[in-house]
Amino acid sequence: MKRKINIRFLPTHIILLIACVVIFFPLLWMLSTSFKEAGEVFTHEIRLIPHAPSVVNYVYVWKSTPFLHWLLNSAITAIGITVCQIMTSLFAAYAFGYYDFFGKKFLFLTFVGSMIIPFAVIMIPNYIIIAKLKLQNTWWAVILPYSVNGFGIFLLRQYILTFPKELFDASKLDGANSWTTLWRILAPVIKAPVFALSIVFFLDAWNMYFWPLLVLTENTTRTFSIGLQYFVDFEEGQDWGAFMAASTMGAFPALAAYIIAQKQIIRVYITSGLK
Amino acid sequence: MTDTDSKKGSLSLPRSPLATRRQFSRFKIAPYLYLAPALVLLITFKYWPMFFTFFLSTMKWNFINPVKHFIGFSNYIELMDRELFWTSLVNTFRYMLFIVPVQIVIPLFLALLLTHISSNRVKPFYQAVMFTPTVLSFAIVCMIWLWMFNPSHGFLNHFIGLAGFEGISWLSEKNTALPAISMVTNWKLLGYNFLIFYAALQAIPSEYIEAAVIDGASSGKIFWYLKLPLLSPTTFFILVTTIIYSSDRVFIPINMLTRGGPFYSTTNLVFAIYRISFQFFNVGVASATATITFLIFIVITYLQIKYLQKRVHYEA
Repeated sequence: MKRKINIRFLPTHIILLIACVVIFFPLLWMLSTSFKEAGEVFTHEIRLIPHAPSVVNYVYVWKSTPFLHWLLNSAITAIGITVCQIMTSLFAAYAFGYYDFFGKKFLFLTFVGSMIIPFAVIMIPNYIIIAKLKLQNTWWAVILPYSVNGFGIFLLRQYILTFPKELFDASKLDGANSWTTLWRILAPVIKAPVFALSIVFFLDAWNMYFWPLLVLTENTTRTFSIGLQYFVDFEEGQDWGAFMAASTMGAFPALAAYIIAQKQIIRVYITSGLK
Repeated sequence: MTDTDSKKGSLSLPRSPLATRRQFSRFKIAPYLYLAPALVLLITFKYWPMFFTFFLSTMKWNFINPVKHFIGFSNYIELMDRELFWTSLVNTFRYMLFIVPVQIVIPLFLALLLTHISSNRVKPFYQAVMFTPTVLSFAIVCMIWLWMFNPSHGFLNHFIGLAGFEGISWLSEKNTALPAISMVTNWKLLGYNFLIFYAALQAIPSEYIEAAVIDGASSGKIFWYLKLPLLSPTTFFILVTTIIYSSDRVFIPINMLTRGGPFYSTTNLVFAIYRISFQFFNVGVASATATITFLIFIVITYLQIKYLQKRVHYEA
């Protein structure tokens, strides 16, 4: 009986497996190339497992690029953006969920509406601001324009609205002001969605490309994505073993996080997509 | 409205005049204080720049010159004369055409297949593998595909060679470069949309489907008349987000794989703004392009607002 069902679903499995191979193979190819020596990279042979695996490419990347700088810059700007977005979102969402005030609806639309302004439309003035403040090639140049996220405000407000108003009132009666209420009453229950949102924000910030490309122009101030691009330009696009080694190292933190917290990350993306 | 809401919560409780006054005064300022950080940053880095872009579009300026010259709508007229503008406008829609339908049909099809699988052990495996590109940085994705596309040693041409075909110079030919970039974008985005569709399919109450099966509906009919209509909010969400993705985020593969070439054949509006401003230093024309791009996005925004309204009705 069980066998029969399995056979009936065989075509389904085959199609899904083909999709998985299409998705996963390029990653394996990257890994494979990164361990090949130049002689083996440029052959007409398709071999997933190198003849003579070698770490020579990794050593070369490590020696010829400020790789740790890039990773550090990526990490710091991504953490900075995440923290700023979470704080501004939490405060704003708290105002929208806890208070009634003049202009509430208009202000809320202002925040949510900001989500649809394409970056390319506001990029030149943003560049002018950062240049005027002389912030180019600093972490703040990357963080500041990205420190508010309309989506975060929208999502956290939704959570706060489901929170029973009586608890706010009870806290108020106990003489707690709104600041204490925020940290003592709201913070403990909103921890889970805030954490989930942080993961999405962090990965988005970690993957940023366009804006850092404009404001980070020195080799040691670049984030990983931009550094990778300049490394390729510098090597005139020829040393593929090294490029794949650099890519593998750059992909490692995100992939490691994904392998560890895969279920949570997937769940976060589902809720952020369905809300 | 402000007052009724605050009274409702504590209607039965006696209040001292002092408490009322304190609460009232806090009512006035506190919410604005909580909003202030977000609001200041939002105005500085989003709304003010939006208007400033329009202002710059009427100016002749090169970033460096201390003086900006007002020239009215000349930048727009100049833009209309440039082939670059029309090519990139057409390409913007070509990207959408190569990406949006693929991002609806294939993820939905795969998600449907996954719902048919009964084994709960294999399901998370498929999900996890397909979702991997979502967490990868797009720059790395581009590097991997740049290598895959390599005309003399790339995997794709080796693979084609095995089947006895001549290799293709994917990224340096006018006809293949834009589809190749679309393909990379599709590869990156597929798993995310697949997961969203799958979650939405799981959310359909099983009673509906069971009832339809009892009534003798074929699986094709169940899909067309039951699942597809119930999925419509999700489909719409994916449609809108993918349209934005295919015009905005596609900048990354354009810059990393082809730099907009050969002969502007992969340049879209966003990349054109970047080139005109940061490589030709023609801030006025770039801002005019940005303003026109924004007008196009307003149409998409309109659809999004329609979608949000639909959601509200749906949930109410």
